[in-house]
Amino acid sequence: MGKLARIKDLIISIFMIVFAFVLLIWPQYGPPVIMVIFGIALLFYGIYSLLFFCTRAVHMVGGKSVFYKSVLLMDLGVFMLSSFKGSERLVMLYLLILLAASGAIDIVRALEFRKQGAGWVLRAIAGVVTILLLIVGFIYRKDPTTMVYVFCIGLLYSAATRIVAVFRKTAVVYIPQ
Amino acid sequence: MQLDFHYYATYCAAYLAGYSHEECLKICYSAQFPDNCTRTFLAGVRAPVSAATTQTAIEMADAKTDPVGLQDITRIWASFHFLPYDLNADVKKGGKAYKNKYRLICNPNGELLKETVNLVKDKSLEAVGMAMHILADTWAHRYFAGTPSVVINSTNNYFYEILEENGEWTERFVNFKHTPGEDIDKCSYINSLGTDSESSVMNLGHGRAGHLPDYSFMRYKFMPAWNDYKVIYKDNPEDYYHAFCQMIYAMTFLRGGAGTFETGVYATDIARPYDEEIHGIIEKRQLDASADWKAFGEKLSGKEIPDFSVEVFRTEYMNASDEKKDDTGLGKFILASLAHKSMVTNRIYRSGSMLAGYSLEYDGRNVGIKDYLKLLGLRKRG
Amino acid sequence: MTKQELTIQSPEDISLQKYKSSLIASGGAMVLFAIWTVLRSVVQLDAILTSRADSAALMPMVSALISLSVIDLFLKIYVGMSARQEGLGRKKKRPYLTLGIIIAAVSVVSVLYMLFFEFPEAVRLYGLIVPIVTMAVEVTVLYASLDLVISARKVRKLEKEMGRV
Repeated sequence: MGKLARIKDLIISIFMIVFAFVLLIWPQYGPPVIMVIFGIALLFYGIYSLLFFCTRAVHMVGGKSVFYKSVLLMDLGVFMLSSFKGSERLVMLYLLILLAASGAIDIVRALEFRKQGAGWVLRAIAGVVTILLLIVGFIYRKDPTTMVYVFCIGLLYSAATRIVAVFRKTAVVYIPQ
Repeated sequence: MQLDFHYYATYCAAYLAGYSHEECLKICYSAQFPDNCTRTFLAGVRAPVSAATTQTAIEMADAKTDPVGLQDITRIWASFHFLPYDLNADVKKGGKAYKNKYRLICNPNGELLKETVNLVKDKSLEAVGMAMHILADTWAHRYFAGTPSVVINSTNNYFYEILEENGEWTERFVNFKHTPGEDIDKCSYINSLGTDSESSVMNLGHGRAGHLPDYSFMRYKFMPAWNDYKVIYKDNPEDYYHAFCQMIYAMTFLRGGAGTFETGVYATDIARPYDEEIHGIIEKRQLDASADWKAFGEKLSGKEIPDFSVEVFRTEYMNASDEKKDDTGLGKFILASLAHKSMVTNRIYRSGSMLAGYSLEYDGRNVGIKDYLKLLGLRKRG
Repeated sequence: MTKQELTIQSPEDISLQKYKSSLIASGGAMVLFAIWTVLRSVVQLDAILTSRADSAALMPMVSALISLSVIDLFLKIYVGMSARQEGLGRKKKRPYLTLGIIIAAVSVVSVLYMLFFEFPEAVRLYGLIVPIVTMAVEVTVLYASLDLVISARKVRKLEKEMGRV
C-alpha cells in the first residue's frame, strides 16, 4: 500500500469512528441518516458498475448484464434516498444477513485453526459475539434504534480493521538468489 | 491438476529423469505440497505464514477483497497455480486495468516458467518439487488467471465435452451444479457460483470451469470471458502428456544439466518406451488416476510409494529445534516458496502492474513483510 | 463428425454466440426490471395511500393501476424468460417476439412521454439526480426490449443460414 493510500484510509477510519459515536449518542437521527448513506452508497456503486462496464466488462462475454445491473443499482440507491418505510426493513435485513455470514465464517475459521493447532480462541470469541449481536438484532428488529446500534458496531469494527491494515507492512522484498 | 498427477505422476517423471527412489519421494511430496500449504497449516506449526502457497475455501471466503487483500490472493495463486505466460503481452483492447489482468493469463512455456525452473537449479529437492507443481499447472490451468476477475475468468454456459463414442467423435453438453457429487457418465460436474463482482473469489482461476482442467481425460470446448465469443478447445490428454514430458526434461536439467532451462523442450524420447501406459492412464475416464499412476511408478522403481500425508512435513518440522527448522523438508519448502513468490511478485510489479502488490529490491535496509528476510540466509548459503 | 469439425468455429458461429448472449442478458434484464418496477410501485403506492385522507376514493383508480401493472409484469416475464430460453439453446416460443415488439413500441412512447411531460416537473420537484436515474431506467428498459428483438431475429437468421433450424 502506498503512503497516500495509507493516509487516505486512516482519515476515512477516523471519520467512520467519529460518525459512529455521533449516531450512538443521538440514535433518533440514525434511521434517516443510514437510509441516505445506503442510498448514496448504492448510487455510487451503480455509477462505479457503469464505469466498470464501459472500461472492462464491455470486452467480456456476457458483459451486458453488468450494464443492466448498474442501472438497477442506481435506481435502488435513489429509492433508498427517498426514505420509504420499506427501505428500513430492507437495510435491517441486509445488516442481519451480513452479521450471520460474518459470524459463521469466523466460527468455521476458528475451528480450522484449532484443527491445525494454531491460535483459535480470539477468532471464536469474535464469531460468538457476532452471532449474539445477530440474535439481539433479530429480537429487537422492529425498533429503529436497533438498526442504528448494529450499523454503528459494524462501522466501528470496519474502522478498526482498516486502521490495522494501514500499519501493516505489505511490500514484498525481492532478494535475487 | 490434482494429487494423482502432482504426487504420483511427478514421482514417475522424476524417476525417468534419473533420480533415485528416495529423491523422487522428496520431489513428488513437494510437488503435491503447494496444494496443502495454507496459512492455517503454517500458523499451526508456527512457520512463516507468508510462505503459503494455497488457500482453503474458508480462507478465501474470509479473505478481504480490498486492494491489499486482492494482492495477497494474487501473489499466492498467480505464483503457484496460474503462472502468467506473458506479462508484457500486446493487448489490443481495454484500459490499463483490463490489460494488467489479461497479462496474468496462464499458459505454458512462458518466460516466467523459465525463471521458475532456473531459480531452483542447485537448490533443494523440495524446491525442485515445488517448481514441478508450477510447471504442471501451467498446462492444466491454461486460459485462466490467478487473480479474481470476472472479465477474465468468467465463463458462460457454453461447455461441451468432446469425446469418442463407438469410433465417432461427438459432443455432450456439460451440466454444471453447485452441490457435491460428480458423474462422468451423466456429464455432471461442480463449478463455482456465477457472480458479476470483479473482486469475488468465485471468479478466481478456473472456478467457473470447475475441476474440468484437473481431469486428465477431459477434452472440452468453452468460451472464456476474454476471448470475444471465440471458443477454446482444451485437450487435456495432450496437455498432460506435454506436462509429463516437460517435467522429465526439467528434472534432467536440474539433476545435472548444463546451461539454462529452455521452454518448448520435451523429453519425449525418454517417455516413448512407456507411451502406451502413460496415454492409457491419462485417457482413462476416471476422476482420480492415483491408483494407476502409483502402480506405474512402483513398476518403474520396484519400490513402494507411500500415500501422501501432510503429517510427514508437520512432524519433522515440529520436532526440530529452532536452529534446525530450515534444514527440515518443510523448512526447505518454505525457503523455496518465499524465493519463488518474491520473484514472481517482482516481475509482475516491474511489468507495471500492482495486482501482486509492491516489490522492493533489497538494498540492505528496506524491510517489507519480514518473512521474506529469511531469503538472506538462503543467499548466504547459496 | 471429426474432432476438428467439432472444435473449429466459423465466423457465423461467433456472431451467433454473441447474439445468443445478448438474448440471455436482455431477457434477464426485462424480467428483473419488471419485477423491480412493480415492487417499487407497490411501496410508493402504500406510502401515498397511508398518508392521504381520501385514500378510499382513490381505490378504483388504484385497482385499475395494479391490474395493468400485473398484466405488464406477466407479459414481460413471459417475453424475458422466452428470450433467455432461446439464448440458452432451448425451445423457442414464436409469440414472444411479437409481444417483444409491442413492449418495445410501448417503451418508446413511455420514454418520450417522460422526457417531454414528466422530466421538467420532476427536476423542479426533486432536483436532478432522481429524474435522471428514473429516466435512465426507462431508457434501459427500452434498450433491453429493442436489443432482445434484434438479437432474436439475428439468432434465427443465422441458425437458418447455418442449417441448424
